[in-house]
This record gives sequence, C-alpha cells and structure tokens, in this order.
Amino acid sequence: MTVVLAASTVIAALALVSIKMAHRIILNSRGVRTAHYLAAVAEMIGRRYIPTEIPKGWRTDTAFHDILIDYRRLVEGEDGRFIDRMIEEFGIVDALIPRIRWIFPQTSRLRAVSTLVELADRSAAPFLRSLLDDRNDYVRTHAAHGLARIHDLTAVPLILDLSTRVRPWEAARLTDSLVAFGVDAVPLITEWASDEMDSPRPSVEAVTQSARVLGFIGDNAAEPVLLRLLSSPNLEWRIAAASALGRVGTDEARTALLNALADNAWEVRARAVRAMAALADETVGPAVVALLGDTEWWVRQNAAETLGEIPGGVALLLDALDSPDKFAADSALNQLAEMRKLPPGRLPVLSRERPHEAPIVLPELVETRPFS
Amino acid sequence: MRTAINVSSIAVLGYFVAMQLHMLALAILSARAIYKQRMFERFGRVQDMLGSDLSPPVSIVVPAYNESAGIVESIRSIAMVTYPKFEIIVVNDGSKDDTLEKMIEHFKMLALPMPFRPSIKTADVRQVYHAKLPVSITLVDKANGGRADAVNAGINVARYPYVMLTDADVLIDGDALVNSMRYVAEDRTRTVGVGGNVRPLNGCTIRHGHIVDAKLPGGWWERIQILEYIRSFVGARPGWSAINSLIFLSGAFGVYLKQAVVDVGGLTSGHMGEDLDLSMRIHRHYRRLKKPYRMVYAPSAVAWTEVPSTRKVLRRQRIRWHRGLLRAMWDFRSSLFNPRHGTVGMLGWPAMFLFEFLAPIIEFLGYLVVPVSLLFGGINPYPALLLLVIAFLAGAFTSLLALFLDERFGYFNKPLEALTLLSLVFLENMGLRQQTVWWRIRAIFGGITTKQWGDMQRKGVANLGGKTAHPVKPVQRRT
Repeated sequence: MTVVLAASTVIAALALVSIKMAHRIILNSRGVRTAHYLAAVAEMIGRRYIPTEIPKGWRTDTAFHDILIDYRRLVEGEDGRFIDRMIEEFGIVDALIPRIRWIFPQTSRLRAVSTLVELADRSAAPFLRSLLDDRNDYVRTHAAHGLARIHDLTAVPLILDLSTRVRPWEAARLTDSLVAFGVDAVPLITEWASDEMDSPRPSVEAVTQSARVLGFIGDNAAEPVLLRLLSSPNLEWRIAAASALGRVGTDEARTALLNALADNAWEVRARAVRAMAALADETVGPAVVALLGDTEWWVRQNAAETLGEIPGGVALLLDALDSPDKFAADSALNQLAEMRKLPPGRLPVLSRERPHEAPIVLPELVETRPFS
Repeated sequence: MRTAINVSSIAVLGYFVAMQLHMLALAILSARAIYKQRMFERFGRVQDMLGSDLSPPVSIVVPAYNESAGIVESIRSIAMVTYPKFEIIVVNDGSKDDTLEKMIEHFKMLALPMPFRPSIKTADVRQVYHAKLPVSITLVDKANGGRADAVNAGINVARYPYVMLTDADVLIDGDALVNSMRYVAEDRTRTVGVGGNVRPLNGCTIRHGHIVDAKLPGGWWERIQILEYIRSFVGARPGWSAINSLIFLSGAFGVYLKQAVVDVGGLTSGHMGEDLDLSMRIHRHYRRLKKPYRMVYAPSAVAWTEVPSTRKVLRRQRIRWHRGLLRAMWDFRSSLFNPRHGTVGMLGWPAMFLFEFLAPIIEFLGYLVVPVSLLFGGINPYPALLLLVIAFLAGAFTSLLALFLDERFGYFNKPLEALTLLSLVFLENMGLRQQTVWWRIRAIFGGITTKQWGDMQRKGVANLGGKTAHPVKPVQRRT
C-alpha cells in the first residue's frame, strides 16, 4: 500500500507540474493563434476577399471560431453579411455538426454546440430543432437560443412545450430565448399560454415564464392572455401578469392594474404598483398614493418609487410628507431624499456632534411583519 | 501502563490514517462537484441571470472598524460587482479614525432620517447616511459593538431579501455575486446560504480595487496559508456542499436569506467563531422546523482577503479560531451524531469534532506516546513507520489533488510558483503542522490563562504593495 501511495504521490506531483506547464503552453499558443486569426479575418473583411481554401486546422479550431463569433457580434450590415458568407464558404457549420453528434468528450461537444448557436444560419434549423430533444440540458438551452437567433418561429411552441418538462432554471433559460423572437412570437406564445391554462394540469412555472416573456416583448396583442392571468386564482400567474401588463399599456391594462392594486396578495399589489410607472400616466397618481400606507414594506417602497417616476408624482410625494399616516409619510420622505428632492427645510442637518434631531427607528415599524 | 501507551500509539496512528482518508474522500467529492460547476459556468448561461426576473436583489453588508485607509477603495470595488440589483450597506462600528468622514466625503453622503425595522438588537445607531449613485450606498454610523453587532445593524437596514456578508478589507471578483446567486435562482425555496471561495490576497497585484495578477507572496508563512486555503476551499468545501453538510460559510463572503439570519437572531456578539455559530444555528433552526433547505458552496464566487504575514499574527489568529471552535462545539453538542440533524449531525459536525476539535489533542498525544512506545519496544517500529508514511503520503496526495482542482482557476502558472507549491505540499508537515498543533493546544487552555488575544495587524487593501500600515482590527474568520 505504501509503495502504491508513494508512487501515486510522485506521479501526482509530476502530473501537476506537467499540467501547469501544459496550461501555460496552451494559453500562449492560443494567444498567438488568436492574434493571427484576428489579423487574417480583418484583412479578409477589409479586402472583401474569401480564399478558396483555408488551412485544414482552421475549420475546427476553437480560437478561429471565437474570432468569427466576436466579429459576428461586433459587425453589422454589409460587413456582417460578408462574415456570414465567409462562415458558409469555410464550411464551419458542416464541420461542427458531426462533432456534436459524437457524445464524447462532453466538453468539446458542448463547446461545438455553443459555437454552432452563434454561427448557424437558417439551414441549420432542423438540426437545432432536433437538439431540443437532446439528453443534455445545456445542449437544449443553447439550441433554443440558436433557433431564436435564426428566427425559426416554428420552434416557439416546441421551446414552450419543453419548458413544461424541465427544471425551473432551464425553463427560465429556455423562455429567455423567446424574447429574441420579438413581436412575431407573441401570437404563438399567447396561443400556447391559453391552451396550457385550459389544460387539466397546466405547468405553473412555464405559464409564468411565458407571461414574463410577453412582458419583456411588450406587444399589445398579449393583453387578452395577460388579463386572463391577472384574474386567475393562481398567485404566481397574477404576479407575472401584473408585471407584464405595465409594458402592454392599453386602457384595459390600465384598468386591470388599478383593480390589482386592491389584490389580497401583497406581492400582486407590489408588482401592479410598480407596473404603473411604465404606464407613465399621471391620472393613476391618487391610486398609487393610497398604497404609500400599505401594510407591506415592499408595496410602500414600490408605490414611492412609482410616484418618483410618473408625471406629477413628486408633488404627490411632497403632499404625503404631511400625511397623518406615518408609514405613508416615511415612504415619501425616503423616496424624496433618495431623489434629492426634499425641500431644504425638511432635510435635517445632522453631524456626528449633534446626532439625533429626529428618531431614526420608528416604533410603529418595529411592529410590522418582516417581509418574506 | 506500557499496554496503555502501546494501545494509545496504535490508536493515534490509526486516527491519522482515518483523518487523511476522510480528506481524500472529500477531495474526490469536491472534484466531482467542481467539474459539474465548471460545466455549468461554461455552458449554463449564468450571464442570462443578469437580465432575468430570477435574480433576487441583494443587500451587501460591510462592517467597518478603523478602515479609513482602505474603505473607499474597497467600497468602490464592491460597487463594480456585476449584478442586476443590489445595494451596499457600510456599517461604521464606532471607528476611532476617520472612516465615517471619508465615506461621507468621498461618496457625498447625506444624513437621512431613514426608518428601518430593527429585527435584531444591536448597539445604538447614531445616524444613517445615504448616497445616490448608480449603486445605492447606505452608511450606518453606530456605537462600537464588534463585527457581529455591526453586521446585525446592517441586516436591520437591509432592504432586500438576501444579504451578502463581507468585510471592508475583502476584494470581490466582479462576477462573484452572480456566480453565488445562481444557486439561489436554481432553487429559491430551499437555498438559505451560499458560501464563496476565499483566497489569500497577499502577493497579488491590485489595480482599481481588482486583482490583476495573482502571484505567490514572498513569505513562507503566507505561502503555507495559500496551500491551506486551497485545500479547504477547493479540496473540501465543494465536497461538503455536495452532501448538504457545509458546516459554515466564511465571513469574507457569505450570502444568506435575510429571513433565515433574522429568525436565528443574527450573529452572536463576542463569539470568536461567529460565522460557524451562525451557520450552525441556521442548520439547527431548519432541522427543528423540518423544512427542506440547503447551504451550498460556490467555488467560482471568489473573494480575496489578506492573511497574516508573520508568525506572531498567525499564532493569534489560529488561537482565536480554535477558541471559536471550542465554544461552537459546546453550544452545538446536541447536534453531534444526532440523526435528526441529517447529514450535518451525522457527517459534517462529527467530522468537525473528530478532525478539527480533537486533532490537536490526539496529534499532541501522538508526539508524546509514539516515541515512548517505540523506545520501550511496545510497538513494532516497522508497521508504525509504515502507518506514519501512509498518513504523510495520503496527506500529500490530498493536497496535490486540491492543487489539481485549483488548476481550474488558472492561478500560479509560472514554473517557479508551481514548484514552490509542490514543495509546500511536503514541507508543511515538517514544522508548521506541529506549530499549529501547539497553538491550538494553547487555545484549549487559553480560557483559563488568557483573557485578551489581541488584534490582527493588517496592511490594508489600499496599502498592499506599499508600506505596512495602520488598521488594527479583530479578525474572526476561519478557513
């Protein structure tokens, strides 16, 4: 046993030194190759020249892929289209697909997937759609983002269906990808969300995420389904819908949000009052002021922040300073102070020598329930 | 008598082998956890969190006591953390220098009658200041009450549901917060704490509050500690985290669910192992409630802290740490081998008892009885030597494994640095280990003979690379 352990220790020590040295050499070599590729690709773009043949190793070199990805992200318009042509003529995608079909080594495969997602054109859509059924969650998530990048709308329902079967983290990442589809995806998402809500066992997480995406995209076509979610008994859906409706911004959304300010759940009230800021409508001011004295800290805080952002809100905050409701006065005071809009007479001048002119800890607040 | 000595000798040697095997097992578990984490980091789209509703806001609490020289640099470094929504709460714990004035002046802070709920009792808060910058910075000025008290005051003022506890002399990598909060986003209902990977700052090149080059420091005491930190934070904690037995999160970087900290009454003032105490109370709280929870470790959430550079300061620190452990051992004795406390009660805490608390006693005993036993021929020298060699090699192998795992971070790649680290793997058993044992033995008996253990002299973040200076501050962190 001693001999084995001693041999293992010596081997481990030698291996450690070798690995450290190898890392150093690999990093240096990669740096040199990267500089070389950077110059070569820049020259090709500048001269609008695509060589008929490139050195054999380039197509599969991850350093070359990274340079192409960086250029593709930075450059738009005609130059961007030229890079797309370069990628096609070099056959980068064709070189990546066989690599992805091999399961091992996993790291190399995942790297190929993430490169494909960045460089693929529409011709790779069927292959990317097939990756949505892959066993590896990273592959599935990247495939969804790749499909979004090439704007393959047929993948939208597939991605949403997939999000019902996976863990919350993956569901969130999958639905994140839908934002990139933009308004074109809104009818597909709303139709899917309605069907899912009507199903006997709807996926709460996936529907919540779809509402979040609709809010990010902010298209009026999403309003009916969001209004339906806001009136549902499911708390998570109501919270997501309240946030999203602020960006939809029609009259019906405004009315629904005003009603949501009286929701029993403080989470919905907090989201609804914050969504009011996005409406930028001064007529909602009095309804928001009423929430400055809410029993929940988050609702009061959000109401004060909203008043700070809507037209005429600062005047309402100044009025609230004299409110008989201590909670409302404090929330207004905090917000105005943070915005540096407190009238000179209201800001206590304190120093280390003269510490307390006003009590900092309000006994009333001690009694309130801590937020969760 | 002779039989007793012989039995003790064999028990001590067996104990060493068991200890090294336990560390080896942890290193293997850690290797798996780090591989999974690395894959996630590379391909799990962690950066998507930055624009996602899944990212809960975080309050970063920074207690500061006599940190005048480094406080501005440190807060600027924290303010550059990449995360969607966070606030910084600096708590001036009755500093005798101009920490408060520097903060107010540099960040143009205004005194505000800011209302807050004191969920945890603390020393008097004198005033709250606020700066309106791209990042919200709140400064709480309070009477001196120690680090725990200052952290509690910061938690009282914190607005967000998660609090990150750190120190004013810690530098945090830009992506550390997002890398730790991704565990919360993954499982928000169960995650109550996320610990970060703390690395020694000594020897590093710092520019604008960021580490630009991680190098080995010149002093051997500091170098040895680098190996210790790597073994603990890279070679062991990921393993404990994988089996949900992470006993404590370092005070230099720990993210907690605020409600969990409030529920257990905050940090315990005057406790020398306050981080260990807090984590154990959270474990006990959730076990008693029978609520599913987890405390996890995020290897890629890196924070940098200064470690003692002299033997004298290191001695003080180790004595403090061990005294903190002694108190925690007593306070949580009911958790030991308690099946109702799950893996913490049956694995994590017993390992702490056997291989941290008992280690110096048994090792000290070993240094006494094994030579005596060998002298009187009580034990056969050959198997005894064999066991010793096995224990030594297993220890070296574990350290090497930890260094392998540390390769993932890409530090210390220069040939000389690699060789130095390699030599430390073998050298640390020839003097420092025995020295540490003696300090910990002193810590056990220190309760009777010593009341004041003194403070740690730090160079301070702003002074690293320059002259040794000023701030004197009690440090109660553990590796």
